[in-house]
Amino acid sequence: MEIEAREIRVRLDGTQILNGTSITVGEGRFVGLIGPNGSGKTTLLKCIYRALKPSGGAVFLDGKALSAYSVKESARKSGVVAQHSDGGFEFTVLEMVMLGRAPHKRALERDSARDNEIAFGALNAVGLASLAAREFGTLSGGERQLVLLARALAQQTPCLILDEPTNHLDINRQLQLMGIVKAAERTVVAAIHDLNIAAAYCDELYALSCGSVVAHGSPEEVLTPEIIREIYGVGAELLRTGDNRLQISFYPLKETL
Amino acid sequence: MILVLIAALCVSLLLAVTVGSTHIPVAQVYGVIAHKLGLSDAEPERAIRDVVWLIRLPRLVLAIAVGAALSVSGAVMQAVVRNPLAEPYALGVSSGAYLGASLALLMGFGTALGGNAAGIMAFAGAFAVSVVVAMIAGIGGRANTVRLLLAGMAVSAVCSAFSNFIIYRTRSAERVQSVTHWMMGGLGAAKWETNAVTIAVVLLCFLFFWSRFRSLNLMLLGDETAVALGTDSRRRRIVYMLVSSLMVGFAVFSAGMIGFVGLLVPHVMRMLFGSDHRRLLPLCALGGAIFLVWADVLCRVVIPGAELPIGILTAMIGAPFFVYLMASRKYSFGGQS
Repeated sequence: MEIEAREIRVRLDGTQILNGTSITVGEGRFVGLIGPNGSGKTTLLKCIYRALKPSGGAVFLDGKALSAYSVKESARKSGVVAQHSDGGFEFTVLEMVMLGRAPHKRALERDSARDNEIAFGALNAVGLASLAAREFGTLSGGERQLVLLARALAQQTPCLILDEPTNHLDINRQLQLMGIVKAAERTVVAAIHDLNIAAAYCDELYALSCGSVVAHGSPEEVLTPEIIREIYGVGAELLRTGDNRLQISFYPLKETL
Repeated sequence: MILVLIAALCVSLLLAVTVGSTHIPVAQVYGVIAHKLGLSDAEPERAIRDVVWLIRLPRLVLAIAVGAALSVSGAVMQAVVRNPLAEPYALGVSSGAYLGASLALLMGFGTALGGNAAGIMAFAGAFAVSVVVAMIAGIGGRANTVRLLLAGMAVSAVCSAFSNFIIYRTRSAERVQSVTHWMMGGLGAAKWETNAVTIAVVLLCFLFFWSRFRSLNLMLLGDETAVALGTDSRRRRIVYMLVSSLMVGFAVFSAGMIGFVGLLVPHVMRMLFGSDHRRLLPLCALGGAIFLVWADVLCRVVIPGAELPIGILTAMIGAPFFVYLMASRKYSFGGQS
């Protein structure tokens, strides 16, 4: 699936969050959004998954304007793992994942054996099938995040939208989660804080600063000491590991000390 | 579990019908029912038949309908505003009903409406207030939960002020007492004809909500998650609230205000059986019905020769039980555990 956000403008409570931001996500690409807190990554993603209506510009899914899709149709296009997992603690894990099937269901339709199969498949993919009957509220933060990923996988959408999916996860869970997303072979747009994770998993990066795209390209093109310095205000040193993976280490700049 | 509760409800009904201020042997009570259902040819005594068929049974059937309505509405409201304190009478329904009843009982509004003018006016008040709250919350197209709660509080305050003003201006203590009494709720006025309407409305509203169990589940997760999973909560919130008010309005119309059922039963059911509304709504309906049947039985026997308003009793036994459950189990209504 192809996503295009064209000239998105968002104003919230008098503050311009996005001023004409455009990104394009090609079929099957793994695209990362990087940038400091408040740069507009989450806001841009919210516009793409309809939690927010942009005050200007438009989002296109496969060339058709998002507003021309029903909410249900767009939920069949992209699944979301975001940071607001603040409800439904009395649901079991399986029930939670099963909600991912909701956009495929008509009002009175019951869950079928096939839905059950899909939900269990998604739980298997995140390695939590053994917790299916547990109450969601009793899980650890990392497990919850994986369950929410399983829910998005059960949605069986061509695209996944992830908003800082590795936040609050330990290193093992971070790599596990990103590995699952990569293995799912969907079109992915993800807001990512950890630049090393962004470098390791993304095909393409957009760097945002103050609501505008300041750089776009492959991780090698975007993650340069100059750009990192410009948007985060920190010094950066690029290293290559033995197997040629990009590693970035950071240090405070003199003037901020 | 649902089958167990259906069985429990049937047993409750059969036991409750034998209890009352007039002592009637159990065999004769069942004799009347069997005769009415065409199962027995033995003609029961007329007085006994009237007590069982025209007083006790309609009242119990109304208890079932009202209990189910309040509990289902409570569960729905808690999901709609994502707030554990939500209950059927929240968002202005209670003060609207209060104002309606005060107007009818103290100022003689709607006397043309017949014997249950207070009930009809209360229904009108409750529903009108819900519509106003929905409209205020919807200004600017963003009916989120906080706006809904705030609009409900504001409208409630206005209605209560007007009711209190009417009461303050009324010189007759007796009539003021009639309002207070009416507000405490009671099932004594049950009749088969009005029961039929109430049951039909409650059943239709229940089926409406039950068929939307997925949307209710998603609303519990919050607007942003819901939209990502294909449900636009903002529009649905208003519709669900109005349907719920309709159902509660009919409960108020036929039984006054019966507090705590709509808060207690949904929480207990959610604690015990989880949040999935496909299961939760029928469990609430049955649980609420059983609870109110027994509450009504207690009302009739606890003070010999008199009848306790049922609203007092539901709060008296409901609240401590609720606290016990809350203290003994880990339950947090979706958050901050």
